[in-house]
Amino acid sequence: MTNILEELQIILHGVWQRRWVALAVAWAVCLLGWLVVALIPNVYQSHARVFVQPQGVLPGAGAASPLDAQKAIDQVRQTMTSAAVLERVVRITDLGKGASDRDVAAKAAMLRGNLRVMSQQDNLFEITATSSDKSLSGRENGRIAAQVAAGLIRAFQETSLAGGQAETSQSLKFLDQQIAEQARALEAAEQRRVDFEQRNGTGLPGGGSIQERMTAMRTELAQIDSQLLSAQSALAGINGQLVATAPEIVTTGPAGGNAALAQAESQLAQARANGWTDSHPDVQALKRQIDTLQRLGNGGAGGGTRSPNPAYLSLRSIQAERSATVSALQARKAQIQSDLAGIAQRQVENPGLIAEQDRLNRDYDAVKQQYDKLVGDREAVRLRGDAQNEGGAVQFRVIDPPSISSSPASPNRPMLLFGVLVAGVAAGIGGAMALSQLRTTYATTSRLERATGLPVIGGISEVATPRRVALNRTYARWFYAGSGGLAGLCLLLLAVEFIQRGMSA
Amino acid sequence: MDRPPAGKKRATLIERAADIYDFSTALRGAARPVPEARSEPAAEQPAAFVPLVPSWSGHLHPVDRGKLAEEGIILPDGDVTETSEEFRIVKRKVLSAAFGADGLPSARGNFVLVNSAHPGEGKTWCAINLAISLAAEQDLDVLLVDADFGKPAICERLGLPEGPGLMDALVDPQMAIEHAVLRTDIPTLSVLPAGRQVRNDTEFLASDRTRQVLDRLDSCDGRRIIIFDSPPALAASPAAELARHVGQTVLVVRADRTTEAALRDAVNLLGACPVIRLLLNGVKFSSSGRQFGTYYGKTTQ
Repeated sequence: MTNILEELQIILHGVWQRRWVALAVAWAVCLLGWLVVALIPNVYQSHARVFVQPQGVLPGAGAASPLDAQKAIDQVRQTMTSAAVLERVVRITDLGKGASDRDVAAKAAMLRGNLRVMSQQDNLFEITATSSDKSLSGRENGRIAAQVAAGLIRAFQETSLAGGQAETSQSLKFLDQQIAEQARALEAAEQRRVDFEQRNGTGLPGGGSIQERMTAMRTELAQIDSQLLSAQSALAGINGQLVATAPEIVTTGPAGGNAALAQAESQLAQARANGWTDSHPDVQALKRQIDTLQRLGNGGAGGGTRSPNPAYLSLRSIQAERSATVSALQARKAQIQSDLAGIAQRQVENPGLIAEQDRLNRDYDAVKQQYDKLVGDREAVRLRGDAQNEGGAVQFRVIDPPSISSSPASPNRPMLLFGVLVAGVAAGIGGAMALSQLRTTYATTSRLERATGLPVIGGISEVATPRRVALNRTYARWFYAGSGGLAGLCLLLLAVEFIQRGMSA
Repeated sequence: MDRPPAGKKRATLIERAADIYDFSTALRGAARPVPEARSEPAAEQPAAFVPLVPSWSGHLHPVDRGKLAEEGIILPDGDVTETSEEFRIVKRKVLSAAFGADGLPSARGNFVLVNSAHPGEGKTWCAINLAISLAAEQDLDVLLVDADFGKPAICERLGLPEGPGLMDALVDPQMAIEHAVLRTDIPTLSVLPAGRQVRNDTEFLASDRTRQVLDRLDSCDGRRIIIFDSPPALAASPAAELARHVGQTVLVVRADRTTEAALRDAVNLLGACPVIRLLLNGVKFSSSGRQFGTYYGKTTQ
């Protein structure tokens, strides 16, 4: 510990011995540093704070997740520093006075470095505009900075508004285009499906795949089978009844035949009376009736008259109806069977048929879904665009208007001046220390002995002779004057700086 | 370029000394018999260290105390100061290397070269301090030799007159080195000036005569320690040459100034000397924190 302390003391002693070197280095560093500080141009700043809500309050359209919010904030920031906005800023401020297009572009590029947009909280942005034109006074620089900040707010507002509207119409146009395309695709898919049906589907009613249709046909066939069975059994029942029923019944009326004959003969007579000849059709029919009635009268000897059985007749009509039903069902069955056979045959002939139909259907469904979605999107975009047009794409509020300051925000010259002084002194001490380490000298006998390995017979303290004391005093005076001069120069520069500030403020 | 003024100064000093002390006749008479006078007592009393009379003849030159104080050098008769205490510690180490256990000089150990890597690290100051501190020893005779031929400074710092010195003796075989030694009012301290400036001082130092001259400096009746203040090792070559003739070297290292590289280079150049030890001069930092931070304060008591 003592050793360390002693080493430390020796180092300090070594530095003190080289204090002139230290002073010279300090002076050199300070003068150079102060020159550099003096050459740093003044920077004038203007601050403004704005509140920007990037999207409207429409549900689903705004920033939902924190990531989206961050994205929106970044977008705002990038928009604010975009070339278009900056050029607009140049044009609406004094910077663009009498500047050509190329100048404007150059100044916009310069502005990018002089503008800083920082998001403080979620939607709060701090705009810092700086101006450091050496040819302008502090007041003018401050004014320019404030102008730039105000111009940025204005330009951003304009750009974001126009941008929102353009964006909506552009989106709508795009969506419409897409929808038209999808509609065409949908039509094509439908057409393909129809063609296929026409080729293979046999025009059966109902939808569904071939497989489904075949299943439906089979079910129908089974139904028809059962219907046919019941119809056939009903026919058989009727047939049985018909056999059991007599076709005629005999009636024992008094003169059934004669009366009819007489009536017929009177009618014939009347016809003849009317002048009709025998060749008249009615006369002929009457003659045939009379003839028949005569034969009947002659044949049925005393036994009454025979008449058809009405029950038999009605049974016969029911039988006819049932047999018609059976034959209709049979015909239907035969047709379905032939259809099934036809489809099956086509399947055998063309095995990819089902797959092709499936594919067609799938294509159609996909296109249809896409189309439906696009239509929905278009409606949403239109709605959002309407909402934006109502309230603006971004909500924009200026919280702190741009400040005007005629005193430079940076560099902090007093601090720098003082810092240079500190650095100079540190460099001086460091240089002296380095020198004392590089050029080994000996402060104590023990060090001398240790370093050289030669015997040391003693150490003689420096004797303060009057002459030397006086000389040392002179040197000390010079040294302190030199050190004090350095500090004094620093103070002087500080004073000059403050006076300048006071004058410009 | 210093030669004409030095010669002129020498003449005036002699004149002035003759005027003040009126010893011109005595000086002239003593100049020749010195070798005999020096060798005789040595023969009679080889091991007697008690009489602390220096074997040099000549005037007693006063050391300028004011200049010493100005330089922060130990005052011979002053209070105990921090510097004097520190040099007491140092001189013990120097003496232990200079003389063996029997009290006799060990392998020219009593020839002490004070050197440093670069100028301005406190060679001369340390050499003078060491000499004055050693001069306080009871049984020791100290001779401080200014071997910094390029920039001799000892005489000036002590307030002694410039005169012929070591280089004169090396250049001129006829000259007796003893005559150049200046006695001071500190009884056991004598000083040998650097002497004239010559261009090829290193070659003279390398010559065989150097050994003879140095031997003559050492030949005395008592214990004598001879301290050489030399030019910086990395600034002039005589230092390396001198290192061949001395038994120990004190290499002055300036605290917080001498770099490791310079030190290593200097040690390499002085490699001819068997004993090289370091002396840290101008210490401003003490790990106990005694002086740290009071650097500008007055630390002398």
